[in-house]
Amino acid sequence: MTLPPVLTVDHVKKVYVTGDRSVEAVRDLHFEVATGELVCVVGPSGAGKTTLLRCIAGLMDVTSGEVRLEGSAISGPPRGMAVVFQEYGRSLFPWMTVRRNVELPLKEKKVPRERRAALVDEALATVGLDHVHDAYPWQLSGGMQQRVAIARAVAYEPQILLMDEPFAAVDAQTRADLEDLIRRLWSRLGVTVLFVTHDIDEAVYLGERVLVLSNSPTVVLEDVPIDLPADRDQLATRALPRFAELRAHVYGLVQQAKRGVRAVPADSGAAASHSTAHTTPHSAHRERKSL
Amino acid sequence: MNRVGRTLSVLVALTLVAGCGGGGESADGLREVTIGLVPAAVTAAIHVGIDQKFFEQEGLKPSIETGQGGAALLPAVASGQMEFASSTPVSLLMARDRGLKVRAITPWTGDGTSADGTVKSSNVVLAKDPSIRSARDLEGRTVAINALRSVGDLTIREAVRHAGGNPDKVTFVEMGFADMPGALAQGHVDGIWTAEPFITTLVAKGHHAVKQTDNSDAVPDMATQLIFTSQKLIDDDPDLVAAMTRALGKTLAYVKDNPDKVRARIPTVFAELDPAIVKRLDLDVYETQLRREPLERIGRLLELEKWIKPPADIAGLLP
Amino acid sequence: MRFIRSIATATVLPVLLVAAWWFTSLGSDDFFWPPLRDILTEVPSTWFEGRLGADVAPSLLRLSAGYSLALAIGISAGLAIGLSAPLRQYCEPVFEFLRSIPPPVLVPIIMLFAGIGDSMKIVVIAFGCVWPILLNSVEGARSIDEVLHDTARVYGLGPAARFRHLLLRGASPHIVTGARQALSIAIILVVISEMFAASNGLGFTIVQFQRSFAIPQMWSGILLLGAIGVILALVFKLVENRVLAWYFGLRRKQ
Ligand SMILES: Nc1ncnc2c1ncn2[C@@H]1O[C@H](COP(=O)(O)OP(=O)(O)O)[C@@H](O)[C@H]1O
Ligand SMILES: [Mg+2]
Repeated sequence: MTLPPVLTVDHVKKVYVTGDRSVEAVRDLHFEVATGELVCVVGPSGAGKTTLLRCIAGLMDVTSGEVRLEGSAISGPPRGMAVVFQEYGRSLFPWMTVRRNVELPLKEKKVPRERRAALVDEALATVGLDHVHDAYPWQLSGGMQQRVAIARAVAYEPQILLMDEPFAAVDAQTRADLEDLIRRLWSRLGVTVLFVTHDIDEAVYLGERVLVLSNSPTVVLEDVPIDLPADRDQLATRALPRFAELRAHVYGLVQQAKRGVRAVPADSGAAASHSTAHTTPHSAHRERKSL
Repeated sequence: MNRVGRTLSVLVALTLVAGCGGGGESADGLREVTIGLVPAAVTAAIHVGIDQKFFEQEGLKPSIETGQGGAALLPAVASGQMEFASSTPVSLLMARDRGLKVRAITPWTGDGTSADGTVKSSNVVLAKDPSIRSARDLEGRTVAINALRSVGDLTIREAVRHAGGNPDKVTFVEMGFADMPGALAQGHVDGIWTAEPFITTLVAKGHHAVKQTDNSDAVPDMATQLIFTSQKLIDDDPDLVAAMTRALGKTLAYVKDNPDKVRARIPTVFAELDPAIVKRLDLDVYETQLRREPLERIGRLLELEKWIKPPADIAGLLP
Repeated sequence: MRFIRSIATATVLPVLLVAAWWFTSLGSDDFFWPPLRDILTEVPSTWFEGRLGADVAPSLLRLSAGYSLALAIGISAGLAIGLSAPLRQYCEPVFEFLRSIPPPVLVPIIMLFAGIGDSMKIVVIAFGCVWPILLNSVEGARSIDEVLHDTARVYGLGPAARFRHLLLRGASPHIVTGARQALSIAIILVVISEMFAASNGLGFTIVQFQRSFAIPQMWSGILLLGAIGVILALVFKLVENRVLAWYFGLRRKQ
């Protein structure tokens, strides 16, 4: 790794306390994301993916450890970070038109009016929605609403883009389109992307790295580098033998995670993970023992 | 706006439809009649009359209705909801002026000479500011009265005029007797037109009566309340009206000479009143004669104020 | 077009009722129930020769002052309380107590500190109106989606923008419900407050007409009051349709 990490998740632990009940959702998550990387986080449902994302977004305090952005610990939502929420439909202001939804964060950033208009038009065009500026979000289909949420994030010109299972609720065709859209945006804008999903295919297809999470209380089970060609194509890429290998490897890890495995023996991931120099010193914490 | 409409119609209905209508025959063969009175100590006199069997002797069984304020009694009698009620000559003359056919049958209370020979007036303006000494000093001031366009403003305006002042320079505001002492103490008003037991209490606290503002200055020998009925009842059932007139006449003559009997019956009207207060209470003066002079005087004042079209219908009001 | 049609639909029943009133009262010689014709003849001389300015205007001013005060206090306090669960727990019993006091009962007390002038009447109106607005604003603030709060935080919306674009708009369906209830209360309280220590106003004038047995004039005042109520309700509906266009659309969609 030559680039300095833009995002450091440093031994983050999160315990939810409600009344006299406490749930240890995330036990010890530790990884770094370099500037311009596209990292996918995959884990079974309830693994703590959303919890992790909310900690990174500064929407929630960590119980211990810290999240650092360009070296400094965050407290509260940092500037220059955009989030596309899992509940995208609910994240759009229903009383604002599509245009105003995308524009509002820019207004708050004091972007001058003309630049604002340009950014909004461009972002909506990028996601393929240049005809619905004056519609209300609830007049659009689920997939279109998701694109508006992405357009809002894109127009914001963030350094880091966090996405929480953004395509979980859209149909397969739309999903493929949106996946390609994310790859295009990522390569064009040079933005750092942290993409959370429970879909193994999606994680492997999209990511440059895939972080596989264990069951809750969560640790990183393995940090899998994805050595597929940068130019991804829904048919060609998915047809590659390497794609199948990586997919099978991640699949195995997720199965172990579901069974409650909390640490992977050092040699088990060899076939997949040692073929690139991408592995970070902290990757996967394989030595950590399950409690 | 249904809610507003509904509330309004309730308000209107409340003012129009007062009382619960009597008029039946009771088991003992007596004629049931309803008489509407203001909820005040004076009402005890009717109970004394019942005790003395004045009503029974006339074949009557009166039930007393004090649920409504004075304002509701006139419409209630006029519309036949109750047979008899008391009201001020001011309201009665104004009602007749508007064509409401009501007629007095007997006197009720007044400022006349009381049993012990002293002349007293039921209402007077009290002030806190020592510079307000007489009626004329009320110019440019605010005076609280219990109801606008009634006895209070009529007599105070006359008092100010009589003292050489301009009555139009006095501002009148309406509030309940019970709210007046507070408003005076807080300085929201400069004078309050009040009655017993407030007068005694407030004078003890250092307030003073404004000279020339009692009724007796504007209308000597003021008749404060009369008992009246509707012309329709007089036409339809003259015997009933005659019987009621006789019973009330006997009652008034009796209570005038027996104030202690009235005092003994006050707890019937005000069950919760402190007996010590009952003992000290300054009783109203009951009148035994319907006198024409105070009514004519009131009529002239009403004409002067243009509250009615002249001439005041005194003849129509008297039996 | 739809608006015009709904107006037409809404006027059918009132027109029928007025017609029924007109014809049934035509030959009435009941003193307190004069013919509608006589009442309407009284309207111009009673109201259009000075009383619009002398009595109706003061009433409308008191109404708008009291109502606006209630809106300002009710919305801001309601939203603040709605956002904070502990605050809500502290305040709710107090509100339940205060809101159950009929404002007319408070008039003498309010009179002691607010005097007997317009400020007393405005306080009475505001006190009566504030509860539906406040309690609905609390509900409105609570009803706002968590995800929208998170969105506002992530995209760096400041307090002013969050109030204007998130809280106010998000709670607006509830606020409007409260404001509509408050409007009818306001009209009633204008009339009631003008029965205490007043020397002008619509309520005051109606009571004076009643006292002096000017019955057709009294009825004309009641009709005028009703007409004002209808106009205010119409204005309210227009504002509501604008402010909540998104909400009605969203609901139709669901
Ligand atoms: N607000 C909360 N209070 C208590 N427990 C929570 C809360 N949010 C999530 N959890 C628990 O934390 C664990 C991880 O949840 P989450 O982060 O939503 O998982 P994922 O997004 O991977 O499905 C789950 O066991 C969940 O029940
Ligand atoms: Mg989740």
